[in-house]
Amino acid sequence: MILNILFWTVYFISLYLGVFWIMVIFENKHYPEKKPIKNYPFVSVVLPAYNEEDSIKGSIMSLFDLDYPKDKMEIMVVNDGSTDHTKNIVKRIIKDNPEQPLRLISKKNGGKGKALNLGLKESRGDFFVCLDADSFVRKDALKKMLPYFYADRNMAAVLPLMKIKKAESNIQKIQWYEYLINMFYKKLMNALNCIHVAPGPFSIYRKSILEKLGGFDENNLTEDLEIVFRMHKHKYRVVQTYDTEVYTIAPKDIRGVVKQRNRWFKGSTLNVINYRRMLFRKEYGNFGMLQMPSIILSGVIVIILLFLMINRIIPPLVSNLFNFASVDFDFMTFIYNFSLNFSILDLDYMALITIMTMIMMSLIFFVNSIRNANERMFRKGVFSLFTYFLFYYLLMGFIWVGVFFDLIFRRVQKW
Amino acid sequence: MVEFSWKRYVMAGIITLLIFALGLSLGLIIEGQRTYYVESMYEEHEVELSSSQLQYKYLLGLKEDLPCSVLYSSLEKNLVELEKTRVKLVNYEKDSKINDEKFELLKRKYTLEQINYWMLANEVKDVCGRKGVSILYFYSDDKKCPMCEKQEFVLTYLKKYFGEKLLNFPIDEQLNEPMVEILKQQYNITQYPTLIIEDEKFPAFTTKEKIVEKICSYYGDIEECNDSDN
Repeated sequence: MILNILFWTVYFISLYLGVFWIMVIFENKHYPEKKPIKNYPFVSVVLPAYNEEDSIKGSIMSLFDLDYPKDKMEIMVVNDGSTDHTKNIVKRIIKDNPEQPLRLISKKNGGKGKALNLGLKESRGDFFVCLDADSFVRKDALKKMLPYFYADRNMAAVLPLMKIKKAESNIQKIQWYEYLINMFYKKLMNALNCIHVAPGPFSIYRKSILEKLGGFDENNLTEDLEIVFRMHKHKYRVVQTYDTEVYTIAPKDIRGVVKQRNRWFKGSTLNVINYRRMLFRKEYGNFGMLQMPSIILSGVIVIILLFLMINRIIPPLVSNLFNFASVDFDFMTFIYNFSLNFSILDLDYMALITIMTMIMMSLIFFVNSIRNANERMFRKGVFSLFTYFLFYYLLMGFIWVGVFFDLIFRRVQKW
Repeated sequence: MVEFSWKRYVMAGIITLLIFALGLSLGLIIEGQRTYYVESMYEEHEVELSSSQLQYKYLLGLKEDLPCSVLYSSLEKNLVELEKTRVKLVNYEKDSKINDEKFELLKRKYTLEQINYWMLANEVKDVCGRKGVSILYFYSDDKKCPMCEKQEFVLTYLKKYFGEKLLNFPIDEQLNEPMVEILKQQYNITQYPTLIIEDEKFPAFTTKEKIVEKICSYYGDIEECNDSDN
């Protein structure tokens, strides 16, 4: 009885959220406005780097290739006490490219938030850009993204589309699909002005607003999420653009995914708790009414679904195992004497309706995500696609369980 | 000022409720169809039972060269079909959201039918000689009888193994049916599962080996009993 109530509550909430977002899809008002730039503003790009010897060169080179006047930008690598060759690599790049506006700032290791704030303090630009040292940017990124700031004085941050660079392992291919759907989801959030995170790869901030808000939270697990929460709290706007892309390297194995998502989910949950006064408050718009509750709700729903699924699958499996053991696993007698005793009425219609509605909603989201990203459905293979749909959320469920346990037992890691 | 409108939230709520209502209506239609199906199957089984009873009465009138094989095979076939529908009925009842009373009544009807067949099978044995071992199987729900699922599995397996040589008659002890009470009192049934193999009582879970041993004690040298020895 309790399990039934739990199931139907979760189903109702999921269905409601699905219907809600599908309505937003069909409203078709997803594009933020922009205004052409008359004079290019000065832009500061900061790369916080901690042990990034494998990817830092590629990230810096992609910044060198940016189609933007070099006298209107500066690039700062903030070496956050790396213990590998990151510092030497950057020094060599500066030496080899004296014409490029690249600087190296070194500090003791203190976390990404501190590195970003140091970059912010040292920066001279009107706009502040953060680029994770494992990310790569397209040439046109600045020119395509800056015009959004000129359409709205209240615009605090503009974010690019984020894709996975070189999805080679199966787990990366699965994440490739996840990012594709997330991109589309962000497009819908745009329409409701409720973007909740400005990811590390090439998010652009209006520096004056960032400074007014006091920069990044240095003690936050997800400072890129916290700053957006603060921006919403002060009624600033954050938008997602679609006309340029950045590429990031996704974790190669499950361990990496678990570690990364644990930090993301935990950080999101803690920030929702910290900003709980914004929850269900109309003055914070859809961000407070929908986005913030959805962050916690998504974790709770995934955990309950995981629990219900285990409850539905494991006990019958165990009981069947014992049943077959009681007849000495004589499968042949069942096979030889098999007779079909099935009619269409025997179908579990409630499960069928639930599954059908969920599949339909997922398909609407997926097809729109594919279109939105101009990609092909099976680009990363049928296996990855089906694994994503059938099993990936189970993994997310386990990660959420870990997150809740960590929070209950107050196990919160540093960045 | 941040823009906010309740309109989309309310609309999404209405559409969600409509989808729910649609699902519920579909559920009601399917449940109605299930009840109709089980009822119509019951009518068929009733005709088959009448046919078997008539065959038996007719055989009683014959003095010698009784054509028992026709009666045996129709009896066994009817029982298999009856069991199939009973299993469906039990599953439909588990899924049922509204028709509990109707399903309860149907379960009573099917149990009475099983008992009728059981009595007929015993009478036929007296007239025609043994062809099938009867097992009266008393079961209850999961809470009262956690081993019933396993016992049912073993009986289903043995039915497949022995075919027409074994006749299973499952009786739900929780049915509010006087005839079931009479049988419970007659055999002094106090725990579940309990098997009555012919006239011998086997309280609690009975293993496959024990049941096979008992069945084979009636048949002796048949292929199935020799195979099970190996």
